[in-house]
Amino acid sequence: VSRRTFRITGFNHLSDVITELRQNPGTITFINGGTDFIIQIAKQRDNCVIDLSQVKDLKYIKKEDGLLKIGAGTTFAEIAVSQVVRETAEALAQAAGQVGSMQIRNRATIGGNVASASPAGDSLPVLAAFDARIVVRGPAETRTIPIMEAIAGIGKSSLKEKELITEILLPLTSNRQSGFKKIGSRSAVTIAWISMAMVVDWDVHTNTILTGKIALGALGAGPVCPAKARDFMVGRKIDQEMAAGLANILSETVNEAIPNRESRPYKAEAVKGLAFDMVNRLFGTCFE
Amino acid sequence: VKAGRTVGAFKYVGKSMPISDGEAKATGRIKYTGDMALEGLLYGKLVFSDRPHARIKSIDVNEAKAVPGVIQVYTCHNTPKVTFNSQMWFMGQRGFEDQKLFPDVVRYVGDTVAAVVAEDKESADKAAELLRIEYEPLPYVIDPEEAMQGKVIIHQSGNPFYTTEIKCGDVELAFTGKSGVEIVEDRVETPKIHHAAMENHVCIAVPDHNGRITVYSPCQIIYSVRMIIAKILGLPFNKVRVIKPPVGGSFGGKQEVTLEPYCALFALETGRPVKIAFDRQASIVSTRTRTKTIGYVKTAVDQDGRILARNMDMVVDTGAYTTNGSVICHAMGKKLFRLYRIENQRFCAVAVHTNTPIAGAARGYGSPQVQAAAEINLDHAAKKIGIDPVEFRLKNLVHPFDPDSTGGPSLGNARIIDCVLKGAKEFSWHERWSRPRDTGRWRRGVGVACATHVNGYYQAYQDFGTMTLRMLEDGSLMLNAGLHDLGNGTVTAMKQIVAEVMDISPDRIEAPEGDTDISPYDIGCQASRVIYVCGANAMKAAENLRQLLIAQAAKIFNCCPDDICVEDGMIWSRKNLDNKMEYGRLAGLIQQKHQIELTVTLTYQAQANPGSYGVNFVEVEVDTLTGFVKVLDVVAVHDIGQAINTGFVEGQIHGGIQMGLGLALTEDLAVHPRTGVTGGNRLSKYHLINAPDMPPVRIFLIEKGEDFGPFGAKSIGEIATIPSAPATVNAINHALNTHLTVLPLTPARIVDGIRKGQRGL
Repeated sequence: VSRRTFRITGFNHLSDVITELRQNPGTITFINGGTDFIIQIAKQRDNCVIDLSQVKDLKYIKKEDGLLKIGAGTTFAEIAVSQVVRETAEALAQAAGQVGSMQIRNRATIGGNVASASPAGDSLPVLAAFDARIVVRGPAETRTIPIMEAIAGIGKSSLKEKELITEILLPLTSNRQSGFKKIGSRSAVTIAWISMAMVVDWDVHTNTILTGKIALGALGAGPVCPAKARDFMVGRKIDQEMAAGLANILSETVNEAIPNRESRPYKAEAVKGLAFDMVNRLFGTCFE
Repeated sequence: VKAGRTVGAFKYVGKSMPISDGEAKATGRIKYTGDMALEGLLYGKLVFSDRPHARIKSIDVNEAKAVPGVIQVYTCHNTPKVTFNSQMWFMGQRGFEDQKLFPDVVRYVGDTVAAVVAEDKESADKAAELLRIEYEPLPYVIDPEEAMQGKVIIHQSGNPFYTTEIKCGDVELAFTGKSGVEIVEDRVETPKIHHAAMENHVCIAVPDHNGRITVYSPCQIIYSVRMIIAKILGLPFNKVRVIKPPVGGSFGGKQEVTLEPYCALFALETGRPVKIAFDRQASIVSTRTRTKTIGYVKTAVDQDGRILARNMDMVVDTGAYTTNGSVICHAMGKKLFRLYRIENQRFCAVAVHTNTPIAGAARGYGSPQVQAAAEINLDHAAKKIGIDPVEFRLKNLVHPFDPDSTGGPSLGNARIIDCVLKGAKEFSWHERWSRPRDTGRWRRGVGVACATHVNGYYQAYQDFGTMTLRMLEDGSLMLNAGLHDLGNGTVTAMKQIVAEVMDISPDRIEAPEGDTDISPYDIGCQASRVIYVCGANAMKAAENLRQLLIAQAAKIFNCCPDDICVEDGMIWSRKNLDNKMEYGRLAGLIQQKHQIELTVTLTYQAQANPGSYGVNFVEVEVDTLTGFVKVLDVVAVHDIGQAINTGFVEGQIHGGIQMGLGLALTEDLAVHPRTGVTGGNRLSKYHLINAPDMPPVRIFLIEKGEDFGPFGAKSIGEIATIPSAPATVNAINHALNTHLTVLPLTPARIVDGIRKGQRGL
């Protein structure tokens, strides 16, 4: 009987994982919630699978040194309801709350979402809009890379052999507003056709955006962050004209990002809806 | 059984009692076919074509056979070449027999090329990857209207391979331009759809020492499975035993014979039990789909809102093999003549083969498609003459006991007008319909659609079955019948019917499902016949058993049968109240004293085929930027004669609406026009309406009885899914002032439609 066999092992402490990496001569796949791994199990080719789901020092959410620090093993269910995340990075809580189904969110982790690098990964545009950095550990060194560098292609991270993601870092400032929206085939339990994360620092008194960043998901390998939108928002008063202008810029962005895709005309129109929804959600307006 | 006479207050009928195996399902104790573990069970894996149309030049099986654990590899070179049609269910049925287990020409991406039988799944998977198949590509056609040109030869029957016409009156004359007559034309397209039962297709076959084979198949027609297996394998019918285990949903998807003959062949050849278990992709692509249709509808209406004539030309895409491709043409057409009083009407269906997944039975059997086309066109007509679509329908709907305008069976106690009136009131149709049109980003609209469906096959095919009902020595009852409970509660409903007649708790009745060794013949679970025909069969059998019991009791009690009283499992003579005893004690006495078994075997032939009727009222809100449709409210009213189990009826309607909304909004196999590859080949790409997107559904039942139905009951299972799709489409077009007619109305199609509307296209 031919079965593809592999060893599966798990640890309680990150230090033990690192020790294993140093000692294990074979190839390694890391899993945490296993929500991607299980469906792809037939494609498993590595000799060893390390289950990170019990590694306690990968599960935390904390505010420290002007950063929101999230352990890579934190589940989306935990992120979605975290008070700290909701106060400092609402977009991430919103995205986390829309990943797959409740059953998936109870297992799936933010580190796994980045490592899987799905074009439709819900946390990715949020991390891009926040200029998040990813802490990566290997057998020898620890390095920190910008989120955009962590994604190498469709379903491919830039992690090297035996590297794992340990932490996600989001820079924080005051007066920051953020949000996440996505469109899929359904209103819940749905894979994004297009998603949008927006982070703005604004002046409440003058009702003006100071700076802002937008990332669109599901348009290609990684999030698309249009510089045009960034430039447009600087110093912009929040009004109907601003919302409409943003909608048009994002529509252009879609047209440029996927010029030959069959879904282009739809996504270029639908993103306008996302833009209006986002502005209304962030600033309590009702533009359309 | 006459309507009116029996409709009324019942003890067990019309009650919402729990489904008999519900707890076992909820707790996981029930064993589905996929759960069955048998000693020495082999695993069969079918290997599918990745070409839309190609001749197999060669298949090199050597590497695959060398994989440890592989028992045998089957191809067109070492298997029976018997041709068959997988939808046939009775001996002598005519039809195009154009299928083979392993064809030497593959006709769609997903056709069966080979099979590996191995000790386990992993070895079979590995071997399947090692098959070396050489193809000679052939021209192929995906689009049914292109297929009509007949340039691509898929079968000897030609393309189109079948045409049929049904008509009444003089359609041409009615369409000749008279003043004041509006002619309204539409082209309505419906997609190929997956039934999406929770349980994928699965089968187990077990050979024995006598050359018999037992097949476990969660199917809809055990006797069809037996017939097709016997035909392909050249076995006498009595060498094939088919057992229907619990099924995890079917919706028509398991009505045709698909995996069973493969499983039986492999089991016979290897002498060991074999299981084939499809994954979701194979269930979607390589079993059966709802038939894709393109309907050209043309309706003539006068300014008073009377329908003068209607013509429908339907293109029926049956996919790569005929299966029910001709049968369904008739099934579709007949419905058009049984919902509205239209004196001049013509329906013509043209059926084609395409190099796409095979169509087959699917809840409604063509009804959802043909009535979607008709109901969308009716709203268009109402708009043209400026009349409220509900008023328009009320002017034209059939009345109780109208004849079928083509000479078919009477419509029976057709209460669609009652349904529409009730629904319009409960939905506040008039207020919602006449609300000023929204102009912002979100637009609300309301839509209505009516539907009719059948109650069996009476006057189309033989429609009968046999049941044996026995009272055992302890007074419990055993109903042996070819029942196929598809999860909808058939077994429980039969118990309720028998319980009502016998005046005994349904808990005291067992009604095992179909087993060709044990169950008398029945034509199976199809054509919305089970309650109306099988239910009547059970009722008659119970009435006869009751008579037998009373006659025997009279002898025991030494009184006239008229003096016998029967109530709540107790029986006595009114002449001697001290003699009150339980059924069981009496059954024992009858055995001792008369040497008689209390058993009744009754063959029941369907006596009529009335229409079941229903209407849906739907409100939607459309996001004009994203194209998203939120279904806000649904009112469903159904003319069902009499509910046997009210909770089951409501369950059918909820589920039917969920499927109908999928047809209207999201579900589509989306076969690629150039490659023939099914785009929606897994549930991440095939979008079902899920619980968060289900609207609130309010259900009202019109229970005015139907002749010949048990306690006045008639069908609900299929009609439940028919009206929601056109009602939803009509609501969207009302909201947007558009005229979108290609289903499903996905966000992309809606956005495209709005843009074209703005550009005046």
